[in-house]
Amino acid sequence: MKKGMKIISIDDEPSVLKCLEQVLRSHGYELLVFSDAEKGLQALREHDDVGLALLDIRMPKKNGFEIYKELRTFKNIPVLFVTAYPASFTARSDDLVQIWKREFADGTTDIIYKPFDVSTLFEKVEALVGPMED
Amino acid sequence: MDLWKTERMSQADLELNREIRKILIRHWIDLGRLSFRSVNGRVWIRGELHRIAGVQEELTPSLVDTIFSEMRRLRGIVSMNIELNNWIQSQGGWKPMESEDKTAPLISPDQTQGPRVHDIGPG
Repeated sequence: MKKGMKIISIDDEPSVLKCLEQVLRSHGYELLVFSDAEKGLQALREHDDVGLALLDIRMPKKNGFEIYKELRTFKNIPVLFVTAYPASFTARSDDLVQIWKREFADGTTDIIYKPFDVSTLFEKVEALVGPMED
Repeated sequence: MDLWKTERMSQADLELNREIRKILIRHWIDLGRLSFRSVNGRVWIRGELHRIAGVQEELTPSLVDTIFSEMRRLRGIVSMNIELNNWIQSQGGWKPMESEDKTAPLISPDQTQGPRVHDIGPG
């Protein structure tokens, strides 16, 4: 993978963004963080070199699934959902079932539950986009 | 030393990861409870195997066998190392662990190296 791969993270919790920023930058990834969903989506549109999106699910205004669906209309990059709510992924939700069958099925989407270990975060990120070069 | 943490993935390994994810998705497996990685065709899978909430058909030993059989048939797979906290291989097949701790953290104890992400709110 290219050194300095760009990752965009959208999460309404500043402490999470700060933490993600610190740990991923320490491993050579370039992280752009947004607490506002619309601004994050705009950045995803504008940056052609983004290799991965980290999306929170429960956010005001626009949730992670809405962002995901919108993202998929203009860019097909790996996505890692970062959430404290495993129950968000339920087959009882018609919306989730549709996304699961249509979008997740291509194998470029993964999930990590908060709280998580840094080592697990790296495993998930590397399994999606590969490790950074030394 | 865990080879899966020290050896580098290739583009073929990334494609293998993707194919594995596709199989898990097809079987409605909760990706958030599993972690996996491929290095030179050797695949390591660990964590817990569960379906996402709301899927009526529960995982059965034969279904777990099917999932891993599908993975073993993927092009480029050299070997698979599967360490699950809630399923165990026994007499050639898979069976659920009897004393699964429902209160256990989502991430298994052997994944606790390194600092944890603290101070996180709902989301």
